[in-house]
Amino acid sequence: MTTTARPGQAGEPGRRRPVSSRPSTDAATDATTDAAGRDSTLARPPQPSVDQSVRTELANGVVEQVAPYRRPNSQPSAGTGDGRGTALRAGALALRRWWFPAEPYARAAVLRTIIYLFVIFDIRRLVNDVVPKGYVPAELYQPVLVPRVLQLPAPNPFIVHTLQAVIVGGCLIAAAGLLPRLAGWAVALAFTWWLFIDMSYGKVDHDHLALLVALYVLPTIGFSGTRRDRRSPVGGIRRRWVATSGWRDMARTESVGWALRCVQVAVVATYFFSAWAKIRVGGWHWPTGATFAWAVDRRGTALSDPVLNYPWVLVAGQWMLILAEALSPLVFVLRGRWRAAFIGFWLMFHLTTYLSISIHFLPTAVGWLAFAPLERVRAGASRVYRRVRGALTRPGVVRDTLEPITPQS
Amino acid sequence: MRTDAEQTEGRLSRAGLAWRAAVTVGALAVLVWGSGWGTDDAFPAGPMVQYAFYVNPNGTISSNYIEADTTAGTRIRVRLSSEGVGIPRGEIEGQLSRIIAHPSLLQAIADAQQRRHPGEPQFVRLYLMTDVTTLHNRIPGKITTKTLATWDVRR
Repeated sequence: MTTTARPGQAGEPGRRRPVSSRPSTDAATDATTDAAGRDSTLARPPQPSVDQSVRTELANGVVEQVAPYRRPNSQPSAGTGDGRGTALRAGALALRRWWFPAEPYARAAVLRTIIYLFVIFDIRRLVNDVVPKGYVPAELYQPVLVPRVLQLPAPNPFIVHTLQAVIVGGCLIAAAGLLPRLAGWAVALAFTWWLFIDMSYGKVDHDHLALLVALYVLPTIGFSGTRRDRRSPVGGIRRRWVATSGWRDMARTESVGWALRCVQVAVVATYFFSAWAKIRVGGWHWPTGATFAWAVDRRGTALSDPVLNYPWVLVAGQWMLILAEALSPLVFVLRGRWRAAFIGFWLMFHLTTYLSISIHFLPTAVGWLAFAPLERVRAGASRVYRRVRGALTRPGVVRDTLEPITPQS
Repeated sequence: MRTDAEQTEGRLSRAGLAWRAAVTVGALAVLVWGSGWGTDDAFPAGPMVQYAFYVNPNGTISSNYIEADTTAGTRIRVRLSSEGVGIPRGEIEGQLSRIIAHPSLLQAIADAQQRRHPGEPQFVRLYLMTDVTTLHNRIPGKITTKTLATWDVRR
């Protein structure tokens, strides 16, 4: 699933890509700055060489669109002498560009489909003891803060089955790209309640932050602009559906970029805050303790139990984990293969914990897809499909069969 | 498919930008507060405390479970899972001190078995048990088993 992710290609805000695809943003400065607006070239007058590089990248006819945007950005520093104001302004601009990169609708649309299908899998296979809890006596129900304040009733069979129906129904509709706001908000609220129930029996899990954030930001992107595309023939239901879903909508918008960025940040925050919690709860000597031995002793599998006899392996693992968690925000700085390797490291980490102590953290792992250029999945899939179909319908294949070849039959 | 030249204006309106920025700042503030000062009670904003505790390399590891005498005359280990009584082990451990103080809470386990698996042997007496493993230089050694609480099931 996640092997399709080519994170370095994820169309980061500053990646050099054809500026033509985002005419509405400050394309000229975009081409000179890196992601996260690390460079403050926003406020620097454009250099002729930069101009040249932009022009070489531009598709025909887009230069006109670029030009008007270059001037306002280069103006403030000229002659005002107000360095601090300029820096502030540049910082604000960089911040805005980082949080609101223009990204293709299709990327969020594909992610949306995956996320909503994953939620169904989640409530059936992962957080799947909510329905049973509807049948458990309420004495063990100890609601956490939010349901306590909202005075949500203790789960009963009616509540849990209704929530399940709303989540499954809403997810199927939203995954199909239909009613993205209505179905999306319904799923977000029902799934939140679902999690509140699950976390209100004495144990709280910490793997759902990214998924929860995704469910709250995905409805905000609304319908695709291709929804009202009337060029598809009347009666072409499948085409209408694809147009409505936005799976092929390559138009870049800031609202999509913000939604994807929120999921990315939620994923990274899950790791980074884990390092913080280890220091806060376990203390600075956490990596030198026996926490991994504790985990394997209690939850070990046939694969991991033997490792208990080699405690240095577990200590090394503790050091590696807390360092990787603390450094997780680096993924926003890394590019290309380095970024892919970094994300691959985390996916391998989750696979390892799954094989060794049966903890998978899948709801977080699936969030890494927000870094992937998912809009290319469809093109890749149809290329493969065409190739396979082409190979199968080649005359050579027909000749290999035992059927007599009768042209025009 | 649409070409680049046909693509639409994708900038957010001032209002769209403003509420998104406010939500972002608010959510980040709640997350930072949760990690720095919150507890699990603040879910989903609480600290990411999975495996965040320190374990002494020469300390002990407690592993808790529930056993039951059944109507079939056997003593079995209660399945603390979604397929079993519907309450995972971690949640019993999360309420351990509460259950030790009020063993009557174990009645809920027997009731859950009755409701979810009426065809199986029912629980007559429940035992909240713990296996304590002593670590020696991080390597698990001797295991001692203790009974933390017992409960005679009411019918």
